[in-house]
Amino acid sequence: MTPTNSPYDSDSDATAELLRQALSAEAAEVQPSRDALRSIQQRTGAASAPSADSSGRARRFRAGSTRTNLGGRRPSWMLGALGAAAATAAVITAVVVIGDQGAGPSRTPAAGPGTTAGQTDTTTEPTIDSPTATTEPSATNAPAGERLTIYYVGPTPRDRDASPRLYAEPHTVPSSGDSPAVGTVRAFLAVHEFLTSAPLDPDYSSGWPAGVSVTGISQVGGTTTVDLAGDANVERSAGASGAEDEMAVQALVATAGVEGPVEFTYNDEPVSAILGVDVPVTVKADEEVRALISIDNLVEGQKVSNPVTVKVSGNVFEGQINWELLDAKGTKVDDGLALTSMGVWTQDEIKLGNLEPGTYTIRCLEYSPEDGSPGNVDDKTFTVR
Amino acid sequence: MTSRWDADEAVSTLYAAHYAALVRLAALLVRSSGEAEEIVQDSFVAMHGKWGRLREPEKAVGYLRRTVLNRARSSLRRHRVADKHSAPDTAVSPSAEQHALAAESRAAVIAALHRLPTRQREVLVLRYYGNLSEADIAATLGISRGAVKSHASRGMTALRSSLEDSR
Repeated sequence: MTPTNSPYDSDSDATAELLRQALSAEAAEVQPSRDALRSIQQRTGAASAPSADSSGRARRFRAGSTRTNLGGRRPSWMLGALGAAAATAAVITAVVVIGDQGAGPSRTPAAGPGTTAGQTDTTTEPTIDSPTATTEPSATNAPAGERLTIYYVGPTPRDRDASPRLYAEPHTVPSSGDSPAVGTVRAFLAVHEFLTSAPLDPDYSSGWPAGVSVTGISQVGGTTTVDLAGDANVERSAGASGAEDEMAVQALVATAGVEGPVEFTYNDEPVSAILGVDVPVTVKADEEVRALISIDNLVEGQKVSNPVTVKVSGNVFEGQINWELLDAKGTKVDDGLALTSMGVWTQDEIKLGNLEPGTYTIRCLEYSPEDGSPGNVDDKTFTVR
Repeated sequence: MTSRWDADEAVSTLYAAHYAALVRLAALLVRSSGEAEEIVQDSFVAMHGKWGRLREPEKAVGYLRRTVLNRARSSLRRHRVADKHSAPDTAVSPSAEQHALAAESRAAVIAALHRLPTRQREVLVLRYYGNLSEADIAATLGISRGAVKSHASRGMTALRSSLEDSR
């Protein structure tokens, strides 16, 4: 019991630091082969890498928890299943993750909480139910897909001196296996979807130039490295980024679900800046990036059943959110106030009751306390059957 | 967290997350990346066979790590017997792009590390490369936390004096 002599308490020790650096440099020279999985599988008798469709078993998902945590932390799937200590380092390659899916994870049209095939999860949204008759394929053999939360750069408040913010959107991509992906595999799937698929909500964007793709995500210690490739100019000089670029980089790291510093490589070269943002990128706290108003239980274009209840989260002046319901022609058919809070995010429900079948838009916004101009806003179009 | 993976899924998922890290860990111990790959692949095959009892990713990762360490130790023992006359420190050549001085001090650190007794070296690699906690190192090596502490402390002391001597 002599803690002062323990190396656990002397990490600043010069020898320890020297050792750490030497081991890290030495390890970096080892290039593990990229196709070892196949030789392992040959030896274990697995026919091939598991394919998304090889099994008819129902898949179980525990999605949906991302929205219930309104206190401020982003979901951290990153280390979820394997534990922080276990994830000392992890390297995945695109081949491993998407090799058996043909063209790779592609956008599932109209993906979202309401249209995921065969899903068993409706945990957080009991009031807007999943479609039952029209879009759900016959139960057991449908691959459920990976449900991912993608963060996009949302609409910049108009007429206000404010930055764009991040809006979460659920996406479903083909499964890479029979169990939900975890760790860097999940991060890779999410970032791949983020860079290659358009957001469902036309008000959102990734903020990244076209033609950039993710080729790998790895983690060593607390640092995550995201490998990107493409022909767009994504480096630019540090410090030259606007608020949009800054938020685009934050959207990517939030989508990856990482917490520590994030390094980037582009076309196999380490970069010192990405979209003009200094690398390593620090993941910013919710207070700086999370949408101040967001509609939580609807995705753009969702089909819903009566009665309709909309859930909105807010962190706005006096917690007051104005909402309006517009019909297909853009005529206001109802409006009211939702009460959230200021300083933290809380959620309120807007009970719209039974609506005539048709298409509607729900818009939630705040008006400037100074001059009454519209500020932060989120809106969603949905169809009542 | 319970898992419903079967053994094949456990292999492919844990492979994606841990293969490269385990190969690097093994390479630091045996100083040969080819050998390290073999050790880690063997360990995955062994884990596949044991999946029925492991069932959980955390346990499986712990098992993989223990197996890699054990096999690395056996491999070193075999080689020590086989190449009694070759210096164990010549296997790794410093990268040509490195500045000579940095490469020299790095090589000195690695050489000193490999002169330590096996347990001390293992503890230091798990601690300073793997960033494992004292408890995880104890579980990986199958020794007590007190033993981890004393191996780490002796190892660092020996490393420090060995580096000072070489200056």
